[in-house]
Amino acid sequence: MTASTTLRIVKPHSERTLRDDLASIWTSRELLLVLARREISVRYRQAAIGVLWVVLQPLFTTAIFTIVFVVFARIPNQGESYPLFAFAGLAIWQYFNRAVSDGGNSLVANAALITKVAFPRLIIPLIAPVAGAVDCLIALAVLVIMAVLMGAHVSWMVVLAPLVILAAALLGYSIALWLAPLNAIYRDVGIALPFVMQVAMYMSPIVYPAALVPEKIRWLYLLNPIAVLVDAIRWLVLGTEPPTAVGFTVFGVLTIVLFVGGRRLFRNMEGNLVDRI
Amino acid sequence: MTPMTQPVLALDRVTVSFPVYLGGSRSLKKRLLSQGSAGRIARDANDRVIVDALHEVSLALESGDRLALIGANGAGKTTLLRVMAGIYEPVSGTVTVRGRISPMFDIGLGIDTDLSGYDNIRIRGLLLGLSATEIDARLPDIAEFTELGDYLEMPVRTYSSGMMLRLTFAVATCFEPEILLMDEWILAGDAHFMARARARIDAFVAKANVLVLASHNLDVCRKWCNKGVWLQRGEIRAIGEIEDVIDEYSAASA
Repeated sequence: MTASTTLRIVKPHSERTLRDDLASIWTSRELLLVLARREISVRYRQAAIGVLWVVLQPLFTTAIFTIVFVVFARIPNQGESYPLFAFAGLAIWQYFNRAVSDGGNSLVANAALITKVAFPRLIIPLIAPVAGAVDCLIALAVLVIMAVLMGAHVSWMVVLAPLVILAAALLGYSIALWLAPLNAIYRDVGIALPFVMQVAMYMSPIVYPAALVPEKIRWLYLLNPIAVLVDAIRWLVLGTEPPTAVGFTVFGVLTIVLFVGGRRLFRNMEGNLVDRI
Repeated sequence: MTPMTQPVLALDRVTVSFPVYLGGSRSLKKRLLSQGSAGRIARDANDRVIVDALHEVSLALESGDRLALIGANGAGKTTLLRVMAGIYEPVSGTVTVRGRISPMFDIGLGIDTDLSGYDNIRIRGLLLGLSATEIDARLPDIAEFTELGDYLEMPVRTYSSGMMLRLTFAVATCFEPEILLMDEWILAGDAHFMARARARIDAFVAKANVLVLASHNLDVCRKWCNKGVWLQRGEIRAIGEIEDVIDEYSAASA
């Protein structure tokens, strides 16, 4: 009858280790998957064309930027076709954007659950990146199909593309760990976030090539983790130049620092959130 | 399986406190607050106002214990329930739980009207800490209790209000509680609902290994519980047999 009896010891958050937290995320994986599935089905529930939006959103955005940059602004050709170049960047960007934005709003959005039942709250900002991964994979599949149809060469390394999604998820989650509790108390965070993300998008070589940026400040892109993600996905799918070793290192260190600090902030704040969310 | 010497639910000098952010005109608000609340009020190093909702509370419950939490508004009853449930974390002290906690603070918890009845039951089970296999094993029983049949495959928003009520209630009571935490108002819900649900609630509470009930209603406490805790300003004023604690409480408030 009580074979499944579990021992749970609740201590002040100051006494809990990173290992405890990672273990609690792992034990809650079934709950996380069900909550992510709910997110997916709720997202397109009343949409007539449903999941097609996953494909249409980056396609339309690509079309708009193609018209603006290629037809109107006539930016110099980089060797690869601009629509493929932009679509690849937009697909990973939209995924990352969603992980950060939805993750940052996740505690507020799930306030009803948080105040009524105890479960590892660290999984809440993970729902968006897990649910969004499906969309991102579909978008990448469409990218490959587009590339083949347009006669471009698709690298075999495309099979490694899910690793870039994973990297984007880890960085997005680490940032959301900071934003979610702050947003629960200061709603300013949620209000400012779309604007900040918009700025971040134009500061990264997503819809324009880094070559357009003056030589003097191009090194800044090495420090931009979004540029590393975008370059990595283009490298794996379209066979362009890979990101530099410095870029990968900066990305890795930044993700770890943001995760460790974010997890600590999240843990320190979550106890006080319940009444203030 | 294990000898019953170990408590099922134990609190060891648990303190829970909340910083209160007052904004402007602090002195006036502080004064009003210190008179209006039954909790203890202090200030921390940053001169924030700190309310000690629970102060060094220790207690141990063994299998079969049915504990009533008695006390005035703001004495810490709900805070104590929530810290037992793991919703609040102690600022100091330790909560040790052996078994699965079933919090019954909100009957409609986790009901998502866009999901099917089955999915709602699954989410509820997972939130309570059951595994997917354990939930699947119980699904046929739950389905039978709801009498909703094939409707369980449909999104809940397509349900009539009567069906909704049956599902909500079945979801709330479908997994046997090991340690059941309840707020009084669950037992004192609206009359129509309670008439239908009485037997189910009684059976549900009876199945619980340990019950903790926060209540203002001393009759309810006598009926359901064998032990009592009288909380005052976040501290235990009295603990023991339910009749003794009620007598002491009534004497003091008379």
